[in-house]
This record gives sequence, C-alpha cells and structure tokens, in this order.
Amino acid sequence: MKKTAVHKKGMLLPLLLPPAIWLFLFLFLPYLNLFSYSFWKPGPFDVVKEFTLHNYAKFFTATSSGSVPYHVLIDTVELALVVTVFTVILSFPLAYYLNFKVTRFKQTIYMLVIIPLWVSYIVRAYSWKIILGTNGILNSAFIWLGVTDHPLDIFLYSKVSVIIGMVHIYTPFVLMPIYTALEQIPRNLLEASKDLGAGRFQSFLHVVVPLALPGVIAGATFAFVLSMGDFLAPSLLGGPDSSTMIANIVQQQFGTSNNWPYGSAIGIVILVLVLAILELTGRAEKRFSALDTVAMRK
Amino acid sequence: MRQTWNGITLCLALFSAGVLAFIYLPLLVVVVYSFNADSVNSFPMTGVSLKWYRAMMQNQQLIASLKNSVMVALISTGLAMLLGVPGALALDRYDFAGKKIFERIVLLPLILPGILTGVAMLGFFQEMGIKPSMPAVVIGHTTFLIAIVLTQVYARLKRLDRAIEEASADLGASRWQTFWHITLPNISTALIGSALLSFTLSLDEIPVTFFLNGVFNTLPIQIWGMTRNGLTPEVNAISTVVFLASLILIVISTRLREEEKA
Amino acid sequence: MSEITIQLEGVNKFYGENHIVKDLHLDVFKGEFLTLLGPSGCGKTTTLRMIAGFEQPSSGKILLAGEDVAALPPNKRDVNTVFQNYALFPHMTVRENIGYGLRMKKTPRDEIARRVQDALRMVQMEAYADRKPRQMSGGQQQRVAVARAIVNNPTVLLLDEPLGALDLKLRKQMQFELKHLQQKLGITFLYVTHDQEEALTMSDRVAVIHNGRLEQIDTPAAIYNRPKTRFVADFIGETNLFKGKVVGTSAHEVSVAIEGAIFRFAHAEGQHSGAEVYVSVRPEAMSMTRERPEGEAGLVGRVTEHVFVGSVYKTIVTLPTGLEVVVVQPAASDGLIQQGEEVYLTWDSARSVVLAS
Repeated sequence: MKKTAVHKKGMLLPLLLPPAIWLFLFLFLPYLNLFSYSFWKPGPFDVVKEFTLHNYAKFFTATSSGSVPYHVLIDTVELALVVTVFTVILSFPLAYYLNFKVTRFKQTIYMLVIIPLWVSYIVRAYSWKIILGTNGILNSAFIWLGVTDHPLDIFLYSKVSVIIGMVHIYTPFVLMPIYTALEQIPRNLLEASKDLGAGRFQSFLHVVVPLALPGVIAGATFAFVLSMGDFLAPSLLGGPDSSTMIANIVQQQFGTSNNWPYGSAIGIVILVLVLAILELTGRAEKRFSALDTVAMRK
Repeated sequence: MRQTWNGITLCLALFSAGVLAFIYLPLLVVVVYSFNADSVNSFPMTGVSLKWYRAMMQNQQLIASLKNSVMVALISTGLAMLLGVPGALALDRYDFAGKKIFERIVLLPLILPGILTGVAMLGFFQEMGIKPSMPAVVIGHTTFLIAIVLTQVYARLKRLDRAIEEASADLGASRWQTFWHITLPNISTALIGSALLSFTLSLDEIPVTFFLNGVFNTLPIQIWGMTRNGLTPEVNAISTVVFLASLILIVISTRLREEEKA
Repeated sequence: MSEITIQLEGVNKFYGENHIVKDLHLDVFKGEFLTLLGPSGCGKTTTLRMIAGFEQPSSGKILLAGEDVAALPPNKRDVNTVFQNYALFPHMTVRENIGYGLRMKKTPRDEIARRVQDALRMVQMEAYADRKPRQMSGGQQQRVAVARAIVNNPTVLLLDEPLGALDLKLRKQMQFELKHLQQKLGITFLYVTHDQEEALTMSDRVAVIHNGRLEQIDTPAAIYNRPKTRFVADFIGETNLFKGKVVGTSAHEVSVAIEGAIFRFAHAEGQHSGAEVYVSVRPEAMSMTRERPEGEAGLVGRVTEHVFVGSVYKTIVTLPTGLEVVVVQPAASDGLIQQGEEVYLTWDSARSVVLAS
C-alpha cells in the first residue's frame, strides 16, 4: 500500500535534511578524512600530506626486532573470539531458562539481566580491578581463608582478567537478542514437534536452536565487534603483554606515539574487518531467520 | 524420564543463577566497599563508614566533571532529538532513493567500535581547526545518539496505526493539527524513553569522549583517570552513585517501553 | 429521481501496473443507503478512499454536491468515514474522540458538549463517555466510531467494512441499528462490504464491483432476482449456471438449448440466434419430480446428495454430463426423494435469467 496522499513529498526534505547533513558532516567526512590520513606521511608536528603506502606496509611487515604489528590484530581477534564464545555460553542457557522455564517474575528477571547493559561501562570494568587486584578482594579473601599466605599476582594484569572483564561487560549485549529470538518462537511449534514424535532434546535441537540462531548470530556479532575495538578494559585490567590489543595501538598512535597516519591506517584495517564481519553475519542472520517476525537489532 | 528432565531443569536453574551472580556480584562489591572504613579494598571489611562519600563530595574535580557530564548529556540529547525525530518521520512517511543506505549509515556509530569514531572525529576536527573541547564532545555524542533516537522513534512510528491519522484528517484536522493532536501523543513514550536512554548513554560514554575532550573532563573520563592512578576508594563511592543513577534512568525508560507495548 | 450527492465520472486508479478501478461511473442520490459490494481486492475500498480524499484518482472526476473535489484534501471535504478497524484515537476518551471533529472546526465549547452528548445518546453510549477505546468491546468501539463521524453532520457518511471485525450475532444486530440510524438521520450512506447478505439487508441500492469494474447497480431485489452478468448471478447467493445456445427468438421469448433440451425464457435483451449464453436459476426456483413433467421440457439426472439443512432440504442432482445442479425445497417435502433416484428437473422460467456468455 502506498503512503497516503495527506503527506505530500513536500515535507521530505525539511525532515530528512537536518539529520542527513549532520551525519554527512560528522560521520561521513570524519571517516573519509581517516581514510585519507592513512595514506599520508607523519611529520614532527603535523601530518605531511604526501601520498604513501608506508603506513599499511609498516603494519604488515616485521620490525627490526622481528615482531610484526599485525600479529597484535590476530591476537586481538583470538581474544575477541574467546570472549564471544563465553558470552554465548553464558547467555543461551539463561535466555532459554527464562523463556521456557520461568513463569513468575520472568519480565523482572529479564530486566535485571539487561539493565547492566546500560549501566556504566567504567564501573563494571573497574569492579574487576578491585576484585582481582594484588591487594584486592579475592587475594585478601584467600589469605583470610588460609589458602595462601601472600597475595598472588596471577589474577590481575593478565589475559584472563581482560577476558573475564569483557565477558562480564558484553554478556548482556548477547543475551538480549537471544532472548528476543527465543521469545518469538511460537509455543505451538514445540507442541507440534512433540506431537510428531520428537523428544525434548530433539525438539530443542531441531526447532529451538535453528529458530534462535539469528539471535545468537546477532548477539555474537555485537560481542565480537565491541570487544575487538575495546581499548579501555585491556589497559585497565591487562598486563604489560596483554594491555596491547589492536585498539590500544591505535590509541597510542593518536596519543603518546603521535603518528596519526599510522594510527589511521590501522583504524582503516579494523574498519574494513568490522564492516566485512557485519556484512557476513548480517547475511547469515537473514539466511537463518525462518520467522519473518524475528527482527533483531532493534 | 521425568526425573532426568527435572535434573536438567535444576542444572539450568543453577547455571542461570550463576550467570546472574556473575553479572551482579562485581557491582555489589563496588557498592559494599564504598562504605568501607579502610582505604584498602580487602576482605573481610574492617568497618563501615561514609568517609569516602564525604571525600567524593569534597573532590572539586569530580564535582566539576559531573557538571560537565550533565551539561554534555543534556545538550547532546536535545540535539539528537531535534535531528533524530524528524529523521524518523522522514523514514516512516516517505520512500526516497538511498533510504536503505541511510538507515544503515545511521546505525554505524552505534555498531562500530567507539575508538574508530573517536579518532576519525579527532582527525577531522584537527583539519577543521576545531580544538578538542566541550563542543567537540557534544558533536561526538550527538552523532551516535541520533541513532538511538531515530531507531526507537522510527520503530514506534512503524507500529502506529496509520488509520488514526487518516481519521483525524477525515474529521477536519489539518496536517499540523493531526501531528500535534494525534501523532505526537501516540509516540510520546518513545520520545521520552529514547531521550532518557540517550541521556544515560551520554553520561557513560568514554571511547569517543576520550579523543575529543582535551582538558574538558566528563565524569567517566575523570573516574577513568582516578582508577588509573592507583585505587582511591572514593571511586567506589562515585561508582555507586553513578550505578544507582543510571539504574533509575534505565528502569524508568524500560518501564515506559513496557507500558507502551501493553 | 432525487438530487445527486456524489458523482464519479470515469474514475480510474492505477497502482503502478495494477489497474485497481476501471472507468467507474457512479451516481449516489441524496439520502440513500448505497453499498459497494465485491470480493476483497475488487477496488471498492480504493473507491471509498478516493471519495474521502486519501487517494487521488489517476483520471476522472469526483463531484461532491456538484463540486469537483480533486484539489481538496480530506480535511476540507464534507464527508466523514467510519474506518474498518474504527481508528479511534487511543489516547483520548470516548467523549474526546467524538468531539474531535467539532474541535477542529473551532465549534464553541458548549455546542461541542451538547452535540457530543446527543451523538452519545444516539448510539446509546452515554455510560461510556469517559472510557478509553482500549477499555471497550469491539461493538462499543464501533458505535463510538459511528458517533464520531455523524456528529459532524456530513453530507455523506462513508463506511469501510465497519462491521467486519464483529462476530456474527453482533454484526446482525448492528446492521439493523445502522440502517435505523441512517433512516432517522437521513444522511447519505456509502457503505463498503464483501458480505452480500449485509449488502442486501441494509441497502437501498447495491453496486456490485468486480476487478475494478462496476458490474451492476440496482435494488437488492433486482440484484438478486435479475442479475445482469454472470459474475453477479454467481456472486450473489447460490445459483445454477447452465451453458446454452440461443436457438430462436421472438418478441417475448427466447428459446435456449440446454443439455439437449429446449427451454423458453422471457425475452432477454440483445440475444440473437446462435449466441452462447448462460442461464442462471436459483436453487429455490428449481423443482424436481419422479415423473416426466407434462408439456414441459426437463433435464434428467440422478440424486447424488440429499441433505437436511434446517429449514430446507438441499439436493444435488448430477446430470449425465457431470454437471451438478442444486435444488432447494421446503423441509415439508420430506420423504419423496431418495439418494440414487432418477429425477426430472424443471424450473420456473419467470425466475430464471439468460446472461450473455
């Protein structure tokens, strides 16, 4: 059905232009600028606007000490994958339990789970620092319990603490789309499955899982992309070796190292990677969404 | 058969309780230790005191950064509403070339890692001669808040029964009268909800602010700095306040959305 | 006849490639209850929406009280609509809903209050004046929707399947209420429905629309008894359609060969010898005997089904060609016919219609 004749095209431009111009100025142009920076040379004070591919070459070739910068990217992707897997492992059973087993206070419990999604990132990251720190709560509890007589350094400033922190921060992002997907599965489909002779596990495997898949993909994408671009949690919770995820390198280039073109080039590499992932997962979601009502990413 | 299923359900229940604990225990720790009498966060707590709240109140930088944050959040939310609501109306009412692309681009600052938007804007502002400052932070926040307002209001408009607007025109109302008397009251919860959510997200934003603030500190940036310079237990106190404040805002905006669905 | 309120002159409507309304000419008389009847997607709702002003005709003219309304938006047209799902404003009370149109016309407050009260009384909803639409049943919402429209004293009231969402019993009741309301107010009603029974019960005239084309416009009785096209005969009520060929014409009669027998019918216009035609006979105009009827031509068939459907018996007779003929007889004629019997079929030729193929 066409839109009504009441709204003539006349109002389109006054409505659309302000946000469109804003996004053009403050989203499109900055990214375009980032792109052009990545082909310029760093100078002592400012960028030198001469074309070069050096920034990209630098990222993909070994330094004199033998390390290759883009290995950080690979490590980051690995760590982000680990975080993603854990967030899904934690989220799915909880979403399933809430949707299919809980009848009373279901909405309240669901709200409890997603509220931290919007509650202060910094507070959540920081909380792990006081729990896992050398003089933190976990260590002092161990000493008090007599498990050990001196503080252990193993908890904080390691890859593990970064992963724990990120899993904690990003789990609600994953839970939400999975919960929504499960919620939209018509209950009579499960009854039909049982009626047709499938056991509970078979119904779960053949009905619930496929229909929840778009939600899982959407959530996993969030967790992966967000943890890949995170530079705050690693620098707060990570150690000397693990405080450098790819985003930290970008941050350093725009900060202490003052090499914006190189930082821009790495930024563009991340951008391309992220856009590719979004495109792929977006397609996968569409492909697996059998219920057309399963509209994720609201 | 029945027995084993109950076993599985029990495991699920325990696991779910564990996940909830994992999400909430750290936050609880911060809240509890904000009342610690000692300056070291160790277990068990040696005493209860409000001294860290007192210290927080006397920390001028902290109070200033809170004021900064509220100001940025208010201005950015206002701008995002001014830009996002018309955008949502345009998307809902009209078909135009590039509509699908526009819908996707709007969402990008929400989906892309904040650091990319942050450094992209930093570079662009440098080229434009805009120094890292409060206006830069406001522009940064507004850009991703537009996505929040636009998607939430658009979603509400899509569910709005178009027939009630036709009925209004049929009963003699002009286009503006229809918008004022019919459309606006029916999307008001989405407007308030998205404004509250925008406000909360702006108050909490770090990755974009980090690159654009210069010497203009917002509350999370200030807290971030304090957590980096060793552990001052005032951070527990201010974190507790931030936690409770955003909790209240979130509960209100979620309630609004629930109410509207009913 | 009387004054014309709405005039459609050669109205066409296209949606892209789709030709939704085809060259529609229609005159609606002042004070009449006219129904646009047709299957869903036939263009009847689009026609209504063009009159209300929500759609623009692709070509043709729409005249309201003699005035071309092409340039007028819906809010400037002196018509009001009762919408399919009522379209009540969810954030307003019943009273506010009904008063909305008057408020938009800057009517004085006390007059609004008075007229809203009158309208509430008219649809017997005084007790619900301060409720929100959500707190009412479908039937109650329906009454409010009607009150909201008629309170403005429109020249024409447009009703788009207003009873479609109600259950059968309530629908029947509302049909009579709406009809009485229309008679009492004397407002012209232009009513859209796909329910033929509703159309026949309520209307002064019925316009049958099919694939965007006006098939026939007539009184309900004429539509039922003297359909002009095969579609109308088939769509309105149940009918038996026999394919035949005109074998002779005279001043008052045509002779048509059907299934090998010759039948005579009152003259049907424009039928010439040799023309392929359809003969439509209502099931209740058919009769069925064991013996060959005297002096009349009859068709022979075998009873394949004989079922009691309450007030009547419905019998299906299968002809040697495989054609199934439905015969409806009063229940009193029970016990005469058995399944499997061979019977002779005749019909009342005065109640039969010859239609162009």
